Formats: sequence, C-alpha cells, structure tokens
Amino acid sequence: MNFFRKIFSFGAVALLTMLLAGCQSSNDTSKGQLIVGLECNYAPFNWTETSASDTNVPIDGKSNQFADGYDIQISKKICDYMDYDLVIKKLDWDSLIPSLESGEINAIIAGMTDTPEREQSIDFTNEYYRSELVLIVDSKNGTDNVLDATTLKTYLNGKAVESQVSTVTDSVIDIFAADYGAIHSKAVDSFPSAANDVSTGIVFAMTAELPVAKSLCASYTNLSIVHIDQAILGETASELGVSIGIKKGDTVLKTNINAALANIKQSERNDMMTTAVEQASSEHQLSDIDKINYLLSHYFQTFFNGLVSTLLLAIIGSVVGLILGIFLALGKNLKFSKDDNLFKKTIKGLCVGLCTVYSVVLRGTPMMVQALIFKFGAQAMGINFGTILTGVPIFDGWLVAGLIVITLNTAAYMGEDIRTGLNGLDAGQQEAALSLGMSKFKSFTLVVLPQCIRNTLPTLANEYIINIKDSSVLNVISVTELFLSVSIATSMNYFIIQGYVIIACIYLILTLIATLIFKEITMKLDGKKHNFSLFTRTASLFKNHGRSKY
Amino acid sequence: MENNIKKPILQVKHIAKSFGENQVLKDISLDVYKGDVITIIGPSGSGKSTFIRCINRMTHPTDGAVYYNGRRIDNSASKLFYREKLRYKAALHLCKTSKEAVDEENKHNELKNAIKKDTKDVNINLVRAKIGMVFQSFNLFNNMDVLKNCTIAQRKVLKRTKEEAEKIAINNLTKVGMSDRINSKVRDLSGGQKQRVAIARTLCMDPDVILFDEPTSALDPEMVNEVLDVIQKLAKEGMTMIIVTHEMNFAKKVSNKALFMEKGYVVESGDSNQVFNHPKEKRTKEFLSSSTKK
Repeated sequence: MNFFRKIFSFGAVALLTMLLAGCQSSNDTSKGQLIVGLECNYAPFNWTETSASDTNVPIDGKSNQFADGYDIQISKKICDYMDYDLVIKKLDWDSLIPSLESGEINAIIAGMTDTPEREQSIDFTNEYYRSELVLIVDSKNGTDNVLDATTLKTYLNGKAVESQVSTVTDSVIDIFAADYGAIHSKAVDSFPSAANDVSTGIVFAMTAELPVAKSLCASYTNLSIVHIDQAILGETASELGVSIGIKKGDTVLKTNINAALANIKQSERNDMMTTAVEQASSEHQLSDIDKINYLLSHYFQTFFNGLVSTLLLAIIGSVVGLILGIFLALGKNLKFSKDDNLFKKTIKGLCVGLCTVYSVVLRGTPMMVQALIFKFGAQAMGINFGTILTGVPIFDGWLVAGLIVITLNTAAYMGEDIRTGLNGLDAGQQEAALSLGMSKFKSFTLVVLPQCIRNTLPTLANEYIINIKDSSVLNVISVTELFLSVSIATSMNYFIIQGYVIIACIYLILTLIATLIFKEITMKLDGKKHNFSLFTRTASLFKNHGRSKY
Repeated sequence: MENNIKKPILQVKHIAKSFGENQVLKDISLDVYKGDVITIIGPSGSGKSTFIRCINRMTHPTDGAVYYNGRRIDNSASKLFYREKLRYKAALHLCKTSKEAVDEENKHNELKNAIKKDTKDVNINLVRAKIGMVFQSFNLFNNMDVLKNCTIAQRKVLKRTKEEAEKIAINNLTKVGMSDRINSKVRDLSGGQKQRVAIARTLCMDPDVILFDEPTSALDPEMVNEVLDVIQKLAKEGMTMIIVTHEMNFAKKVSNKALFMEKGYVVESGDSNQVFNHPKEKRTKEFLSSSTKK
C-alpha cells in the first residue's frame, strides 16, 4: 500500500522533481559495494549472456541475464583489490552519466573515453585500456599495408565513413573529413549497425577500436580491418584510451581504483582483451535461416520473456488505462450548474483544469520522453525501480515502471476516446434511465457507459494494438520487453537483422490476433451472424490497422 | 365538488422557469387527482414540455413548488433557506425594540423548521419511479433487448427478482401488443413499436401518474394510431396521465381536463369538453380552429 502511495504521489510532481534533479542528495553506496554501470552490448568490452558461466557476473535487477567482457574482468580485479562486492547495472549508453550523477551507480566501466566534455560532469581515473583505431572496410577494398598520411588520402578521398553516435571513433572521422577528403556520414546508433552499413555498401568504411573491430569482423566475414598510422590522429589518439568514470569529487574512490589499476600489468590487459575478443566472436558463420534458428534455440527464453512483458504492458496498460480514461473523461466533462455554490464551483473548475492539462501534456509529449522523466524523477525521489521485485522470476522492477508509464499514457488517449463517445451519445438515454428512477450512478453504469464503450470499441481496439507496438519505446527505461530482447540476444553474436525479423513476426502475430478478437467481440455485441470464411475476415483486418501515436 | 374532498396526487404550485434571461414558464399551477387524464395543448415553444419536465424534476423550476402525495419534491431546500435568511436579515433591520427582535428570531426558527419538514426525506429516484415518463424520441436503451428494457429498472430500482420482473414485463408488453417481440433488438423495431415498448417499460414500474411528452410527434402518420390506441386503453383502465400533444381530436376524446398554454402562461384551463368545444378565450378559439383546419 505504502509503495503504491509513493508511486502515485510521485506521478504528480515528477516534472517538478526533474527540474530539481541536479541538486538532490547523493545516494552513496552502502559500504563495500561497487555499483558499476555499463551497456552490456559493446563486445568485447561488455555483453549480455543468458546463462551463468565461470567468468560472467549476474546483472542487478534482471533475472537470467549475465554480463561478461573485458570491462567485467577489470571490474572484478578492481573489486578484488579493494575488497568490494561487485554489482553490475545494465544501462543505456546515454543514461550512464546521468545515472552516475544521480548516485544510482558509483562507476562507469563501459569502454568510455576520458574527454573534456565528459569531465565537465564526471571525473575519470587513469586509463584501463588503450586501443588502436582502425578502419573496417569490405574485404574487397582491404589492404594489408598500414596507411600513412599520403596513402590514407588516396584511400579515403570522396568515400563515406561512419561510426556509432557520440563516440571518439565518430569524432575521429572529422579529422578524415577535414584533412583526407572523406565524407562524414551521420552517426548510427550502434557499431553493429555501422558494420551492417559497411557490409551492405551503404558506406565505404567505419571506424572502430581494434578489439571491437576484431569481434565485428568475426561476425561479418566479408569485412576486414585496415590499420592506419596512429600519428595521423594527433592529440585525438589519447582519446582512444578508456577510463573509469566516477562521480565528481569522489577522490577516495579515484585513488583506490587507480591503485588497483596500477596493479594490472599491460601484458595482463592484452591477454584479457584477447580472451574477451575470442569469447565474443565464438559464434560461427551461419546462413540467415541458421542464424534465426540459432537465436530461437539459444535465446528462446529471452524472446518468450520479452513477449510476456510486451503482452502484459499492452493488456494491463489498455485495461487500467481505459478505467482511468473513463474518470478522466468524466472529469473533463463536468458541467457547471447555476445552483452550485462557490466551493462546488472551485472543485469542479480544478477537476476540469487538471484533467485537461493531464490529457494535453500526456498526448502532447512522446511516451519515450515521459518514460525517461518518470525514471529519473523517481530516482530523484529515492524510488529505485531496479531494486523492487527482486527475486521474482522473469519480471523486474522496470516492468512495473513501464506499466505505470504506459497506463498513464494510454489513459490520456482512452479518456479522449471515451469523451467523444459520451458526447456522441443521445442525452435521452440517460434521461430515460433517470425517469425510471435510476440514480445518476446506475444510469451511467447500466445505460450510458455500455453504449459508449460499444460505440468507441473500434478506437479502443486501435489503442490496444498501438500499445502492443509502442511498448517498444519503453526499452529506454530498461523494460525488458520484446524490442529489448533483441539487444540481449544479439549482444554477443551480432545477428541483428535476424533478431529484428523474429520480433517483427511476433509483433505482427500479436496485432493480428488482437484485431481478430476485437472483430469477433464487435460481431457478438451487434448480434450479427457471420457466414463468410476466416480468410475473408483476416483479409479485411488490414483495412484499418493501428497507427503509431508518437 | 367531490374532487375537492379527495387529496390530489400531484400538486403544482406557481412554478416558473427561466433559462437565463428567457422566461419560459410564468406562474403555472395544476392539481392532478387520481384517474385524471389531462391534456396540455398549445403552439410550439409555449413551454408545454418544460412544464411536464418540471413535474418529475428532469428540469429544475426556478420558482414555485411541486407536491407529490403531499410531499414537496422540487429540490429547493437550499434556495428556500437562503431566501428565508435574506428575509430575516431585512426584518431585523426594521426591528425597533429587543422584544421585536426576539419575536423575529422565533419566527425565523419556525419558518426554518417548516422548510425542513416540507422538504424532508425525499428520494427523487423513488419518486421518479412512481411518476412515469414517455418521451417523444422513445429513448429505449439501445444496448438491451425489449425484455431487458422493461426489466432493468424493476430489478435495479424496485429490487424485484428476475422472474418477478420478467412476468410483469411480459404482462405489460402483452397489454401494448408487443409480447411477440420480447427478444428483439431495439434497432429492429418500427417507431410505433418502440413507443409502445417505452409505454410498457414505464407501466412496469407501477406508476401513479404517467407523463407523456408529445408521444406521437416523432412517428410516421400511419403509426400514430397504434400508440394513441394504447394510451386510450390506459385511460379506460383509469390510469392517471398528463399528455402533451398536438393531436386535437385524440385530446378531445381521451381527456377529462385540458390546459391551453401560450408563451409560458396558461391561457385557458378546465373541463375538457368546455376547453375544446366552448372555449372562453379568443386565443384558444383561434388556436383550435387553425389546428383542426389542417
């Protein structure tokens, strides 16, 4: 009960707290625990596995997910040295720094490079690895020579080069564009996507650090690595070292970690990296069908959990959203009467105002943004969704957060649908009910609401179908639904396209089933007997398929 | 003279109704006794519908009172208390001695108690159940079939059992000649059939009075009679009814009292034979001759 009260009271002030997020009290770790944040999707530095092994570490708040990679091995060594317990948190690349600032994690060990921009918000330790910057190109354009300034100019002139967004490897392309005639393509969201672009010829080359390049080339056999003279990079070369990010001013932790790092020799680091690259690229070269089979057989549980989460989000989000939407519609529809006293008028005015603001704000902002505000707002208020529901199989606390976000969002849309339905209904229906002696409540629940729901059913069904698909944006707050399950399943093997094809099919099946069910319900309610075949009905589904709402 | 000994079922006293600046009812009174069939006639916009809607509080009158079996049912307690407070304050200013003020206070308390007693314990929902209403546009519940339309209020308001409610519903549907359509959907019925079901739905509540708000105005000419026949049958059975209608011949035939309204006033009222056949007012004569011409 207390928990729910917390959540709801939070909802009202989420926006406000976001504004104050910068100055909330720091939530330092309990003694002896190092909470490390990373993406778990950046092999060979870090990736996700679905079963425990000798080398990997369970991910905090996620059941059946384990992290492994160079970063994990380094983290373990640091914790051993400092005699701390290691806790691994899986976070989006973009939310790593905010999470560190908010105290959710103590350290970022995620292959992050120390840059002046990042130093504005966080501190960095010494480097824990320095890698070589290389180009990845289609093998037919490959060369064994190490390219120097002259040869690089001819090699890259007029060619498109890309990399992952907001990484050093992307800013290096600026040097290639300025001095060597290359074209800087718009950065993509991940290294595997960039590799895919190179592999399909969309761009000529991509930049990557050697360890990443090695594991990418192991997955994409038609790609090969081209070494370049690191002197070309000038000062940027220093940015190829990766360091551990810690909270600004946390000098004790910084000293301790630096001492721990000093204890790990360069040769030891190289060995660890080689092992990581080998581990990450252990999947063999398979055909597309085999890759799909591989994903389905090795990661069936991952996809299944994602499917269950997506269904839960869509069903609970739609049903609870509908109930909240009814109240919202009633609140927005309140009418002032002449007999009301000032108190009644004030209450009604407040109610109408609040409901209107709610529906305008929630329908006027993307659900993705709402989810992020909700997440960081909750953290600022000291509610950490990662820790609730620990010990529950399949589900984690983030699913609860996702459910709240999707429910509140759907309520705004359902509210509008119901309001349209209510306004469209003949006022005589309620008058007749009242004239027979029914109370306002009974006349609403027995006569008005059933007709309103029946009339708006096609729109409500559409909202449900939209929810099945749009729940995918909740991956930004680490809700392990269907969309995110692809990142988990492909973080080690890079079978990206195959993964997305699998979930595209699942989404399609889910929406088709939903549409069929709603058609059937509508016919039942109308009392129509259908004598045409299932095939014609299935075909007719495609006529009004759900549109995305963001 | 006999009627005066009996108590009226419904008493409407000096009611008025304004919508903003527009006053649609001006000081209208009416006593309804058991077995009365009262028709209300008049040109469109004369306030006939507003008047009968004030009787079962579908519309709140601005002024005046409505009594059902001697109990005040218009929702005006707060309004009356407020007026009494103003009156008392004004009266206090005029008091010269302290004795006068004490008298005034006693009077104030007495009047307050009177208002309290007058407006006490009225559950408008139960009153409405006993004052049936039939609408121009039928207003059958579209989400239910014919039988459910007739049973839902019996079960939810009068708390009858399902079997009991269905028995009563079928009896009343037989009375209006709709017993063969009990499982039909509302949208499959014709206008006349819908209105007959609506009458049966009201009858199921065992009302003391039924208000008819232009029951045939939305019907095709050939369906008018089937509805009027039902109303006439009810009149013969002694049902008390107030009927707003434009069917003059029917009104003449069925009613024992008639009310001619125009511009919110009652122009002429009284015995039906007298109003229709020997009207005293010039305006009534004009109206009756123009509406019987067509």
